[in-house]
Amino acid sequence: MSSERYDAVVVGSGAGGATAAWVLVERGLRVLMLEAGRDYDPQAETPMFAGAAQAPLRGDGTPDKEFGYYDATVDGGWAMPGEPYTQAPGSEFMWWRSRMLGGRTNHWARNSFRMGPYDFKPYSRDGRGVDWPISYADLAPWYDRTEALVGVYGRNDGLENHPDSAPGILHEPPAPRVGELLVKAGCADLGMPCVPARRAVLTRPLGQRRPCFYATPCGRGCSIGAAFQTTTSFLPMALATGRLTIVTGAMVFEVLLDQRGRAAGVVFICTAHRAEDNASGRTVVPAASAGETARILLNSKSPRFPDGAANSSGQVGRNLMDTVGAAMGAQFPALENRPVYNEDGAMGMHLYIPFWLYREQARGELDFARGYHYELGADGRTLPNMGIGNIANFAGSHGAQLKADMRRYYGSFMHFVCRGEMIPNPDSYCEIDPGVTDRWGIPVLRFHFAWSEQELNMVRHFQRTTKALIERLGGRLQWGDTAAEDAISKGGQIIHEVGTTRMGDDPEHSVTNGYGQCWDIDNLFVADGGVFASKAHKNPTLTIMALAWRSSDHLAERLARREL
Amino acid sequence: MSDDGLPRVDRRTTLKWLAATIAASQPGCGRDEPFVGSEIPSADPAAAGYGKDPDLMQPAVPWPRTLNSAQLATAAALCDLVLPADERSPAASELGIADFIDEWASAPYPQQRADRELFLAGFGWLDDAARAASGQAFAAADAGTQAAIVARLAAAPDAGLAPQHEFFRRFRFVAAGAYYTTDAGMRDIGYTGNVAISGAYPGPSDEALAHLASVLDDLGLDWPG
Repeated sequence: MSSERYDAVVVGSGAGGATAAWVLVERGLRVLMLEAGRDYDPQAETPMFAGAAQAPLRGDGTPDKEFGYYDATVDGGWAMPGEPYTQAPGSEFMWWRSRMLGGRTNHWARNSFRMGPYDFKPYSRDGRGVDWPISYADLAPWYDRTEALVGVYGRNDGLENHPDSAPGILHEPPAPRVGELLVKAGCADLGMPCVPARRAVLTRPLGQRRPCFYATPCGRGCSIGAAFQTTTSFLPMALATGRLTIVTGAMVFEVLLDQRGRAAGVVFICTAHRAEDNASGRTVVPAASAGETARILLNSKSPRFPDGAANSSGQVGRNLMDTVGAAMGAQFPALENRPVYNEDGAMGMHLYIPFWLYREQARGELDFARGYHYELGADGRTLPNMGIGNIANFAGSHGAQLKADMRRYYGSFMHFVCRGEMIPNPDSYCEIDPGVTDRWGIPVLRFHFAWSEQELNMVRHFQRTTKALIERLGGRLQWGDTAAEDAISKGGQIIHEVGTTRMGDDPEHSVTNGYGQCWDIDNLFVADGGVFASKAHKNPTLTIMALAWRSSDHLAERLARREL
Repeated sequence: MSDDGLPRVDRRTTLKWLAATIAASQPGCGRDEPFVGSEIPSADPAAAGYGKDPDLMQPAVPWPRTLNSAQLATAAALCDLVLPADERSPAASELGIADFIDEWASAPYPQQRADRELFLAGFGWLDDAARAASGQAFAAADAGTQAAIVARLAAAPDAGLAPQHEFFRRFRFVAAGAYYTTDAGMRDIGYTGNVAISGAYPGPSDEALAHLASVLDDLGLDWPG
């Protein structure tokens, strides 16, 4: 690297890192972004309309491409050659990594729900976990700014603990599909809400990005920029200022400290040359993902910080949380043989079911303390993939009868997905495995993970409620009605891992303050999901970006005042 | 030989079938005792997958096809019995589904290796059953023999044919998945999407909404406001 000293060295180019870089360069600062993975160009590399029949194995998932051949993730997934992570005995944790410019934003589901007032003060509400040092009101202006620049479709419904956006920000949500309307009718009968989902997909133009044209799966990435990813938005915007330098293939493994114990830069492996290098900055902004940032800090051992940088609290790596996942699927005679129309829509949810039982919970009527929402798989006449073979086995026929049955049953299946809040527990954390290094020689993470009865009871509630809903709609349950211990997702499987560098009011029990600023190292600002003090059921990416924006504003102001 | 003219598998063979089904991630299991009348070449153990960063714009299958001509003929005959031609779409073999079965069964991934064991054992059993009934291998047998054998396979598994039924389910899954991801297959079931739309998403057609109204009425549900 050149010897230039940047105003900020940002580690990672995903949701948090790209937001931070954009905000900092917009304020006139010079930023170096280091990304471990390769460069990635969505314009040139997104197989938008490519057919399943042209892909190996019809694009079905394999250990090389777990989410399918055309998934945007390159050099990533649950398991990567030469880059292991380990599990403590008795623990199961899955860690999805995307070693590429833009990280996981290239393929995410784009579900974008704001956390609400209750979600920032969970301890005050039910005595479990901890409160955040900030409130919803503190973050609300940054949610507005983030949504305005990201582009989110949805509707303001004024629901409890589901904040409205400022007027004019949300994009018009797409019209509901038939299956979604059927679910909504069933929900109304059972006293459950069913409202427009919020997804980071444009339905009107935004800058250079074009609105959704209602085709091509979002998980492949979106070369027209309708479905948000940092590689079509924050990164090109930041590069256009001339103040952002991006270096890919730079695997950061340590924060460099100066004589006074402040961050001076980072050390990284230049993966193309297998050589060690470093970069210097007035501030350092790790945004490498909750797991990877914890790994970097824990691997940054020094006489001053023998347990890792910014870890005097011992909380780095602790409080690891993921979203509670479960799902059930059913077949609906009411949806058989229905009139054909183009059901693709925005290639994701148009409607969803937000959590609706806050009052029952407050009255102590439920045996779990936190909320969950439903994500609906009600786009039944979706783009066929290998999974359509399941319909043939459902029909159980062959020959002429099978071909008739396929026409009858295609589009008659729906599935229901639980996305719930996990409460932090002492058995769920990551640490450095003392005996294992990756292909670069960097010590790897070892994960410990356990669900509690809180999460299992939530899954049981979801299963009972879902069965009632399926029954009310005349459906035939097909899968997912297993014991909660089997039905619940593995830790990490929902890819919402957060909490490993949590923010708080108190340096003894948290790693950063409410601005992601490390208590121990005041020019080190964490800008990824690590700072979450709790894990609301709402999908974390939007909140990661809003927090990164707010923290970066604060960092820039402090730098301008020469306080860092 | 059973009373319907089809060979029963003995307990030892059944256990081997189950092993092939259950020990899915152990390629090669059971190959030391090949089925009578069938040759079971292993997938090339050196074959590599497409890796973590394949070219998404120029997809290519890097592993060689490994089914022999007899196995391919059996696969083609079976997939046409599962998905025959009719007035709306062609037979599976005309859409290259037998070749896809070869691509699938030759792939170096755990699921596909497990399916390979199942498919090759199943093809062998089909030939044995056809020879017992008609003196010909399955692909060359008369239509009546083929139909009778497939009807047995497809029926709810009885004690003697559970592994064969599992083979048939897996084969049907792969064949139907392959068939309905072709343009012809998608047209057949009325998939009309993946075309760019300008302006707002139009949502369900009037006809689709009218149909929904009628099923809501049947279910005693109000139109969702």
